[in-house]
Amino acid sequence: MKKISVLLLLLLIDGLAPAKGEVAIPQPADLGLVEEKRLLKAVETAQKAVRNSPEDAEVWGQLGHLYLSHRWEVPAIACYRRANTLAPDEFRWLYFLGRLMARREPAAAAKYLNRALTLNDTYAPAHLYLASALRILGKFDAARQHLENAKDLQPDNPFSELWIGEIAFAQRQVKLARTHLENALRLNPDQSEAHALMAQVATVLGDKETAKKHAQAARQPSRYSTLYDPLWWDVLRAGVTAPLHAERGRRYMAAGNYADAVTEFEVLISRTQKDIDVWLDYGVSLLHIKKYLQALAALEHAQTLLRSDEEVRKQKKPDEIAYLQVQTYNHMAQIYYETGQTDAAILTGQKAIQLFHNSVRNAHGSDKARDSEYTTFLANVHANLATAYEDIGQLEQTIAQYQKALQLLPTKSALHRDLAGVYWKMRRYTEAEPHYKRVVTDDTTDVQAVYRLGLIFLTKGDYKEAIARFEKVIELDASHVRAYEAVGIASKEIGDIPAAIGAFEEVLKLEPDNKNASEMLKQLREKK
Amino acid sequence: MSDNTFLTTLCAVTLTVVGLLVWTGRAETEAPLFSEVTAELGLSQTETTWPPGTHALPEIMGSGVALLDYDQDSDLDILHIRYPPPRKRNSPAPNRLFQQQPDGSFVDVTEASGIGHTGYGQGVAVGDVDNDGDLDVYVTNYGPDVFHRNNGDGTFTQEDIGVSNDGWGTSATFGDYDRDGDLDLYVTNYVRFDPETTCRGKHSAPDYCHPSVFEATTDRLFRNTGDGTFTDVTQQAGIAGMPGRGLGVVCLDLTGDGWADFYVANDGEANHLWVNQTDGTFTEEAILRGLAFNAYGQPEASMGIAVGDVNTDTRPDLFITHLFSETNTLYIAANDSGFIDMTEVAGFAGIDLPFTGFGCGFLDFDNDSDLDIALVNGRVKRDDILEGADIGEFWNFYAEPNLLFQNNRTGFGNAAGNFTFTDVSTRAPDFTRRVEVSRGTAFGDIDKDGDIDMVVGSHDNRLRLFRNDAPPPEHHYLFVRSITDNRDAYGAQVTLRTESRTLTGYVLPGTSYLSSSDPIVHFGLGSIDKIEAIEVRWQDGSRETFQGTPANRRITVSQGEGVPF
Repeated sequence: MKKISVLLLLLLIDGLAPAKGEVAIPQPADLGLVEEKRLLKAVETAQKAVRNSPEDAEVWGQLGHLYLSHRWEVPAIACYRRANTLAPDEFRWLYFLGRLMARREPAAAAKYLNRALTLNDTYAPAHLYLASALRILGKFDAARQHLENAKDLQPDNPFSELWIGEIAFAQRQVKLARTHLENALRLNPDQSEAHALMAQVATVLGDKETAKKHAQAARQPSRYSTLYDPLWWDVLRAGVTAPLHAERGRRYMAAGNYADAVTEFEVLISRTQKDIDVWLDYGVSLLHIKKYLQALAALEHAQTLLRSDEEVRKQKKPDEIAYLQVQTYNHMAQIYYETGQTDAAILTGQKAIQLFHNSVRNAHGSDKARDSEYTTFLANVHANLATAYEDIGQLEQTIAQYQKALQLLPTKSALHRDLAGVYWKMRRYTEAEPHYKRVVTDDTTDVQAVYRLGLIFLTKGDYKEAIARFEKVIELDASHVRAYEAVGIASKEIGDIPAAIGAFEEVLKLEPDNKNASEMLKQLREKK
Repeated sequence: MSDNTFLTTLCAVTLTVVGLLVWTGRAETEAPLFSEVTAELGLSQTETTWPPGTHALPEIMGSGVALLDYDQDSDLDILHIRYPPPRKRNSPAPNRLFQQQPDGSFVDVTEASGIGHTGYGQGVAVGDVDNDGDLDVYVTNYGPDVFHRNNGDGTFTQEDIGVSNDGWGTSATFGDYDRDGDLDLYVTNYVRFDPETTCRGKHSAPDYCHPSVFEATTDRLFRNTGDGTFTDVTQQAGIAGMPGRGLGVVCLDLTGDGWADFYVANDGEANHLWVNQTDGTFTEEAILRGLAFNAYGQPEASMGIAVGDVNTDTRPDLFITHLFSETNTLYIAANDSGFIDMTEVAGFAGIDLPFTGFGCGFLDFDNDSDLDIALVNGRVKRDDILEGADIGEFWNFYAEPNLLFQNNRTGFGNAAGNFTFTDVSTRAPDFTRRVEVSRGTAFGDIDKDGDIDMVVGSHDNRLRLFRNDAPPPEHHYLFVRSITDNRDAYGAQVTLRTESRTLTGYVLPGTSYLSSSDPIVHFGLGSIDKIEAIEVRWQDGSRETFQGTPANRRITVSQGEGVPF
């Protein structure tokens, strides 16, 4: 029945006979309720362009983008249809029609996307949206084929694997589903959707513990890997309202493009802006492009709003407010650190930690689902503090902060590496050893860690272990002179003179002027 | 006249004409499956115009309706839960009770019955909490809920029996989760609504807030102590640890262990399946059992819940209504005690995707022995106006038609069967042609002619009653009332054995959205005219078999009078 209604509407909009010289332009039904002048102006301009060039598919498409970006989907569909009529061989209009209708009229969407793919079958998102439409229509085999195509075109997109897994599960191919879901989770470990289905798969396979683990992960908000869909940016860029500037800003941030993010947020910044997330994102983006003074001003303003603006404080729960304050302090500490104000950085970092313990983690009714996020965040604050302490030479404090971070995230390799580095600097090799071992377990190719572990074995007189580590270093980096040198020393100690000679010869090949190696070679050859 | 006005007018005129042609064409060729009989049965509308909304969330969520035989005269009466119009919060809108008369018409007996509470009415649960043979009523409100004890003489008394809930109560249901012989009560709570919070859409115009803007709240579980009062056991039962934005709830055994569980439809987040641990506590297992998310592993905006054995494997399957751009989801019970989202093979996803569903039910409307689906729709976010919308300038943006799906009766008896549904909405024009904001929906054989009728409430306190005219005379039926402890045996499972088929139904009034249906189980039988045996699995886990019966009648089975097996 809906099919009748929407199709009728579209036919009528398309088929209306305009008055002589006039163009029938699809109108958003609630345009009269719009208060934002920028949007009204943009609509007026885009419609005027259509009136001026009614046979130009591009201007129809632009009007469609403007409508779609502001969630006026039905008139957007009509615009894209007109664009498609005027330029039937243009991939974009078919793609947008298909993408837009996939969640309204999947059968129609499938037709548009199939036609789009005859024009360009290398655009992965078109395959994904077609697969989505086909799934809704129950055409699993065809959907699976398009998911395979999308996987070939964009091997790192986790949606293909996820959806193939979902289809397999719906068809009770449980083990096949598990394989694909595991692949999806390798591509994006934070994809809650994959965890949710893995929980079911594990339940069916009788693995209760794994099922519980995935069920817990499924409760966390999903963190999608962004689907690489450059055409969608055409739509996003058409948006002129505040939410769209914010959305674009955040997408730029996610892509690491902080300069463009700042440009988007700047439009929204004024003394009356009460969206705390906008202030924070603006401040963080400024920090990343090293505009420290402005970043600090933005974050301080955010801090003031969080502390004393009733309107802002009403928007969120007390523990959420506190968490935002803690995050703000952490960013401010980063700015102080980057600008050489290490004492201020330490003070602000400590304030962040204190506030976190007082008002976030211990808050009544704090969000348990965010425990993992909280833990990671707090560990990072401790690690940042450690870095600051290290800079001013307070190494005991540095160690204490890294240890606190490791209590929170005991498996995080980078923390082991950093702590080991501090011990190393303080020549506390015995204490550095277990941390380097952990680093090497996690990453057998970490040259520095393997080398230093070798040196620790060397100082302990465990020459064979030491040689094994140094040879590993040489395997990873054949130009590592110090490793050859160390192999030479260790080999000499265990009496393997030929090996020692060979090692020092390698040193001299790489550093012909190395006097120590020359001297050692001389001694060894005399011994021989 | 401006271009825009001209186009809008032309559109409206043309759409109306074309729409009429479409419907007229259908009406000429096929007899309608349902007919609206609201006015002719005396269910008049009191409010003539409904004011524009203020974008306060409660005003778009609607309210419920109950079909119940409150006066024990063996016909169904109607309790309509109501709330004040927008901008007129102080204008009382009492809940209304309509008593069915011997001639099938209804008379408003609100005042005489004493059940006309004037809160901001939301949902209704009906059950005999004191096992005295008459039906008591619990009404949820945006505000304190109320309990009405049936005095057995056509009147009710509002009582404080320990079931106070000061959250925003939505759906509620009675069920005997602890197997002690009396009905307990589960109340879903929605959000901690803040009337000062305003929201805007992407095009900057004001609109209703997404529920996630407001804090989730904890549902309430009340245990019937057996002495006429209830105790709040939310905390000790383990329900308190997981707040949600609940809108729908059902109470029945969904895990196959014979103990009643609670399944809660949450709006915009994972649904909850509270699995009965048989010791008074529950654990939440919706994700593990496949009932938290859809087939995409995503949470949906769940509203109403329908329960029925779609694939005739005797296990209950679920149908959940959702928001625009989300499918209404069909969860089929699988062999491994979990559920699989089989929406994509059911054939309705391509049809209902554009609508926002609320009240819903599995009903065999044509008595052909398989379960069909009726659902009512209406948006919570503004979108383009559909043709036929004529409920006021403000509300037209939210109006949608209802839908009716007919089961194609294929692939029975297995979870992965290819059961499919066909959209037969155009064959039920009275039910589906109007473009409105429909919400609570209840099901039962109101006119006692052997098929299931429907009553639907709308956002504007309007009530519509749809008489079922679908079944051909050659299609048989059977109604089974199941009694335990002097009351309907909520949660019992009734299975009919025939020569060719096995059909299962559930004594489950608390389904759909904010509503309560007739607990008597209806079976469409098609050409089957004789039942070999009736098996009942009672709420306490015991099983009995009862003698068979010819079709086309209403029978009552009582616990303890059958043969245990």
